[in-house]
Order: sequence, then structure tokens, then C-alpha cells
Amino acid sequence: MVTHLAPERPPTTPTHTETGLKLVTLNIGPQHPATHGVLRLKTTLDGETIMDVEPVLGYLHRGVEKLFEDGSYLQAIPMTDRFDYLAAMHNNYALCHATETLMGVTEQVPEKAQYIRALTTEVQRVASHLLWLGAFGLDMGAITIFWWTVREREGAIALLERLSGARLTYNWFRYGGVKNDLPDGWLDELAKWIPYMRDRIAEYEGLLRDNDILKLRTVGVGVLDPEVGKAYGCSGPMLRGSGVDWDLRRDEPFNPVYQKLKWNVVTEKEGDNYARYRVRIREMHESLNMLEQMIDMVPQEGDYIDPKIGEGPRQHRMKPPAGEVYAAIEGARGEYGCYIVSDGTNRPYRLKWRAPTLSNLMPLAELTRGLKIPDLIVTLGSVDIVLGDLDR
Amino acid sequence: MSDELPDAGQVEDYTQAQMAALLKKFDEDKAALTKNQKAAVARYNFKKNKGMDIVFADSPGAAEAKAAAATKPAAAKPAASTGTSAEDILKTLPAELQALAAKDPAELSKDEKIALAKAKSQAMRAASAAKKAAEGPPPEDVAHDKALGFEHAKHLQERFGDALAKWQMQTDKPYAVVKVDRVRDLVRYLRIEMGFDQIRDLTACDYPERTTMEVVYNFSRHRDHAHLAVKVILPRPASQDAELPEVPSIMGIYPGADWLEREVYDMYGIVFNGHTYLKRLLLPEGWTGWPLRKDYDLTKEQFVGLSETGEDIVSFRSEDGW
Amino acid sequence: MAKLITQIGDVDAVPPEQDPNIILTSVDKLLKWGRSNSLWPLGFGLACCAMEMFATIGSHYDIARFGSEVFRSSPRQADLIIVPGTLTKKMAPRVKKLWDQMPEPKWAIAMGACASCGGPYQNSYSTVLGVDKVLPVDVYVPGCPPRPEMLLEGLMRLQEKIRNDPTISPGLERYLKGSKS
Repeated sequence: MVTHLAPERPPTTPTHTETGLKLVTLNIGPQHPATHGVLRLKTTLDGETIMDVEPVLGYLHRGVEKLFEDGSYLQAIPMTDRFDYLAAMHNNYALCHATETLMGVTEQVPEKAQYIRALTTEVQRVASHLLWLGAFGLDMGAITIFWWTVREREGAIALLERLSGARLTYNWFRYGGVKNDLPDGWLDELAKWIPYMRDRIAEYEGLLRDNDILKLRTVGVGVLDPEVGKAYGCSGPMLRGSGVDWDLRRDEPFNPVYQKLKWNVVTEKEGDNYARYRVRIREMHESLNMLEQMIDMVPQEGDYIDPKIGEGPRQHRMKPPAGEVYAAIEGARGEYGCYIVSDGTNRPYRLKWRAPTLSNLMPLAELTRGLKIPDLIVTLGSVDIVLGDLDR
Repeated sequence: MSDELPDAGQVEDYTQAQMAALLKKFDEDKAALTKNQKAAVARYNFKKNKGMDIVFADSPGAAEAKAAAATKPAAAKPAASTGTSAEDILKTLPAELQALAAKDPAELSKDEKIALAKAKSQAMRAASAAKKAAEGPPPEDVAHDKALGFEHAKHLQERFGDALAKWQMQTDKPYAVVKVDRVRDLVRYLRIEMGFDQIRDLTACDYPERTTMEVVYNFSRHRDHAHLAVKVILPRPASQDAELPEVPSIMGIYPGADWLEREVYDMYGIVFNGHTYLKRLLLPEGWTGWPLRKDYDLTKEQFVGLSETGEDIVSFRSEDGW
Repeated sequence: MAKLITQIGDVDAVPPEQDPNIILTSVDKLLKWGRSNSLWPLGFGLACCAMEMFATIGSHYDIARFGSEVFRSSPRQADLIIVPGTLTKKMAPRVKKLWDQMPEPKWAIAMGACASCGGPYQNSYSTVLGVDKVLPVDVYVPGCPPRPEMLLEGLMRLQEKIRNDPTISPGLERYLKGSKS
């Protein structure tokens, strides 16, 4: 006997205007070119002005957290790939980092493995932000930028494919390191790709940065207050666009390589869509700088995986000690975290995926109240959601 | 000629000639050998392959080798732990009680018997406590002390000591178990007084063996990266249809708890009192059951269809949808 | 496609000097040529495979050279639905609605392992094991996710299927056979 009855509508959603006219409910999605996947937005409108937005999720809920409990820790890695599929390496890293924290072996990850991890994380960040930029422009009708960034993304994906064998769902990280060593010549290819990417980003900036239409559509739209952002649990560029200086690469170091590099945490003060756009562009530049520094610093010799933990099949039988852990890394969309409860067997007892996009999307109603529908679309684009991560 | 060969398992029981005959018999007619004889052959081969010295019954050092083998099993037994055997306990008692213990129990008076028994049990308890102290403190206490070593944890313990049941470590972060009715006070204090402005995670876990469900909150403070986790332990409903456990909602304090609590409700069936819109987040609204609980029946498939007004219809019949 | 009819009786259908200027064919072959080379898909993405679909749309792999110049946003203007990604139970009735809204002739490609058979989510409580439980699929493209070349191969197979289809209206055939979709 279920004793709880859900209310029909959120109490913040009005049904009538002050003058007594009934408000329109417009459904955007789940199939919609601009919703970045199967997201449904139930908007309550007064003409074209938004009174409230209720995102309805679950159209891609695959029940993965239940599936985690059926397989081993090793089998969980490819399942995490499919959460935020635009930055699959970051998902793998979050799971591996959390399990390593639980086992207490974060110090044992070999130096070369840490470098490979950092290299792949930053290349993946650039690739993810590129596609975000393309979709952002597409939402506003600037279709050119979509073609350009998808073409550029092919270059980043080719690098990651050379490394791991797959284009989108890499299954690359392992506990204690990565799956394999860097291929010969990968660092040279990377060294050639970085200046090429810098030129391309300069080209995009030339097209978009001082573009009047972009500015009219994004400046002052969707302003997120920093305290509100922190209280919602937002993270990543969403929070840094509001001026909050919070980056897990520096604040909760999960990879010692970042301490050795010269880089800055990118923040912008205004908190509107334009600020978030600037944050992501500048983050791409920071990532490229980091990659350039790392190419010279990667040790030639070294293990790519901690030999005490072992590779492949041994990791299938790996049994972390009983206990719980919450650990997170800084990925493209924010804080990718894992809460793991282990009972000492080789299967996770509970593996909760802390989705960055879920927390980032929550303030959407607050950001867009009083704006028009096209502003909603652009704001949704600047939040940068990926449905696999939202729904799991 | 098995009646000539001894039915023994050790190589030392055979003379050299007997061993040779045994080996020959092994090659020719293995089935006629007894189990012990086959074992002896195996032991001989093992020793030969390893290059060890083989001693036969008629060899010079046979007698010592046999004696050594006989005493080995006794020596291999692990040394009994000191201090807890009955004789050692008796030794720790004062002299008159020892004298009493030495006497026949039937001769003792009732008071003497009681006194002896009390002294014995006290001594035993002292001995086991000493043994435990030698091993080190139990891990829960270690974790407890480590958790309270954090500045913010200590402060919270001073302020809310009565509401917090225990402190432990979530690997590297301290966590406290808080009573259900004090959750909101604690969380409000955390946000407003202590400045924990970020909610990192809100989730739950189901422990059928302990018949509890836990709701786990993770908070952090931006200015000094302090972390804190809070747990609420709830009684586990007996079945998927039983009454749902309730927790106060912290949505009014951290707006980010909104969808996280809805997701916990969706997956575990924990009701958050005070949540303004506690509706299923990920599954369609009419779904029956709480999937992430360990007793969720995966064999009963549910099917989703669409009504004319665009609402989800969920049923157990496959004709009604997918 | 051109010059399929070369003789009418004993006479050359087209005199040699007129050869470059005249094309002879049959109506259904013309129709099928047109349909197969101008498949306009619905802009529909469920999960990860949609990213590889974007890559196929992009200039490197360029699905436009196969005729899919525009991805229509409305199902009423599309004739192909590529289903990339996992179909969940909550989404299944909506996909059926989309399929119903597409006018005939229409085709479907199940892109990826999840759309073909449920993919890695076999034991999940909320996935539909394959989009063919909702709509009739013409081509299954396996992969997790399939490479853009794989999707283009699937598209080319579909084009072949359309060209070799003995009926002129697959929808009419399905209707006459009593299919509900």
C-alpha cells in the first residue's frame, strides 16, 4: 500500500495570469531538435513568455545502477562509458578514481599512467567542448559552427581512437592505470594537432566572440547567482561561469600531474549564457596549453598500470575492501562522482553515479522565468546536458 | 606377490629391494596394489624427482628418520595461546583460592564454591581484555577518532551531540549518523552557521541483512574544501508494498536536494516529508515497485503505454504497451 | 537506371545518334531511384549512437552525398527514421507515435546494438529489447556505437532494398498483410 500520493503540478507553476487568463502548457520534446536528446520540457507560457519550466526526465533511464550490482567492478567500466557519452573518458576516470580511493591505492598509480590519464582527460575535454560549441550554435541557428566543430572533433576522436581503439565509448581506464601504453608516435600526432586546434578555435572566436547576434541572445540571459549555483550542487563551467572558483583538478586533486603544470582555473563573473560560453572556450585553450606542457613531461619508461593490481582478467576478480567512498573528478560538464558501497566481494554492493548534468539542470526554471522560448533553448544549450548522464 | 610387500604408506617402511619390487608391480599391475602402497610409490617418485634423500627400512639412518616423522605432526600443531588456558587462570588466583581449587569440588561449601567461581571468571575476563589490548583498538574506534579529528566534525559533535549516533569514516571523509527527526536542524545549521554551501550528493542504499535503509548526504564547503557526510538510518519495509519510511526533506535548505530526493523516492520508495513535488523522476508515474531495493522482482516486467491525453499508463500486461 | 529498355521488338528503342539525349526507364524504377537517393531522415537521437549519427552528418563522413541532405525535425516531413540509442519503456509509446506520424513510404534503420536487440541492457527493468518491438525495421546496423561508415553501409543497404523492392508501396503491402504498424 503506497502511502504517498504525488501532487499534480509543482506548486511554483501558476495556472492563470493575474488578469484571469488561462496559461498555455507547451510541450517541448522528447523528440525535438534542440533538446540535446530525449528531454521533455513542460513549459507554462503566457503568450511567449515563460512562467515555469518543468523538465520531465526518464526517457533514457536504462536502470544502469541496478545492472552495476550484477557485474564485477571491471564490468562496470564500459557501462559508465555510456553515461556522458560525449566525454566517456571522464566517466571511466570517475569510477576508477573512486574505486582506487576505496582501496587506498591512489598513490600507487604509476607516474606514466597518471600522465596518460591526464593526457586523455584533457583531449577528451577539448572534444566534448567542441561538440558543445557546435550544438550551442545550432540551437541559435548558427549552423556553420556545427559543421566546423564536428569536423574538428574528428581530429580529437582520431587521437583517442589511435589510443584506445574506439571512437566514442572507449573503455580505456582501468583500476590502477589505463588499459594500454601510448602507441608510438601518438605524442607527435598530438604535438601537431595542438597548434592546428589553436588556429581553429581562433577562427571560431572570430566568428562568434564579438558577434552582435550572439551577444544579443546570450548576454544577460539565464543568469545564475553563485550562491544559488552552489546550493543546487552545480559544478563545472556552469558554476565557474558565475564566478565561483571551484575546480576539482586543483581543489580535490585526483591526479598529481595537474600540480606540476602551469594552468589557471577559468572563471567569468556574469553568470549568463555568454559567460558560460566564454568559460568553455577559454577552458579549451587551457587544456591545449596543458597538453603542450605534458608532451615534454611524459616519462618514456614506466608502467601504464599498477602491477600489484594487475591487468584485465585479474581486475575482474579484484575485491575492494568493505566500506564506502564518495569521490569525484572534474570532467567536461562538472563533477563526475561515484558513491560506492563495497561488501568485500568483487561486485559493487551499491554504485551511485553522481551526475553533473542532473544538478546543473535543476535551476533551469529559475534561470528562464520571464524569458521567451528561444532564450530557453539557448539557456538549455549553455547548461550543456547529456541525456545519458541525466537519466542513467 | 603383494603378501611379501608391506601395506604401508611411507617409503621408510620398505626396504630397498621391496621398493624395487613395488615399483615393478606398479608398472605391471597397478590395480592389485592397495591404497597405501600406491601412496608409497607416489612419495618415492616425488622424492626422486626433487632430488631428496630417500631413506629405506634397511638404510643406516632409517630409525632416526622414522622417529623424526613421528614427532613432526605433534610439533606442527600451533602453540596454544598463553594465558587463557584453565591452568594459567588458576595460577593468577590468590593462594587460598588455588588451594580451594585443588580440593575435590564435592568437599567445598557453597560460599567457597561461589567465591572460587567468581574469582575464576574475573581472572578470565581480565586475561581476555589484556589479550585484546595487545592486538590494538577495534577499527570502529579508530575510525571514530579519525572522524572527530576533523575540525568541523568536532564542532558539529559539540553542538549536536545528542542527535548524532556515531561517527565513522567514509574512506577519507567523516560521516555522522543523525536521528531522523533532527535531520533538518542539523542540515540547516550546516548550511547557515557552518557555511557548507555545496550539496555534492544525496543517495540511499538498501541493506536487507541489517533490515535498514540508509539515506546518505554529502556536503562540502567551498572556502576550505571541508567535507562532511551525514547518514540517516531508516527501518527497512518488509516488502515492496509495505508502508514507506519517511525522512524530512532538506529541499528548503538546499534546493539541489529537489531532484536528488525525487530520485531516491523513485528508486527506493523513501518519502521525503516537506518536499513540494515528490513525484517519480526517472520512471513513468504509474510504475509499481522500487527498483533499486534488493527485493525488487526483475522477472515481473511492466509495460508502458500512452493514454489519449498523453499520460503514461503502466501495467503488468504485455498488451498494454512496451 | 538509364537505358533499361534497349529494344522494342527488333528495333533499337533509341537510335544511336540520339543516345546521349534520351533516357528510357520504367515508372517504378524511376520512383525507386528517386526514393532511395533522397531519403530524408528524421532528426531523432536517443543516446550515444546519436553522436555517431552527428559524425555521419558532419563533413568528414557526409551523409548528404547519399541523398540525406536535410534532417527533418518533423516526422510528417521525413521518410526515414534512424533510431540511434536505447529504447526505454517510457519512450517506446512516443516512438510509436512518431512512426505513425510519418507518411508512407517510410523506412526505419535500427542503429546500434541497443536499437537492434537491447544492447548491453538485457537485464534492465526499463529497456525495450530492440526497437523492432515498436516499429518494423528495415535495416539493423550493429555496433556500440557503429562507426559512421557502418551507418552509411546500412544506409546503402537500405537504398538497395528500396531499389529492389518488388512492390511500389511498402506501406500498402504491410497494410494488406495486416501489420498493425
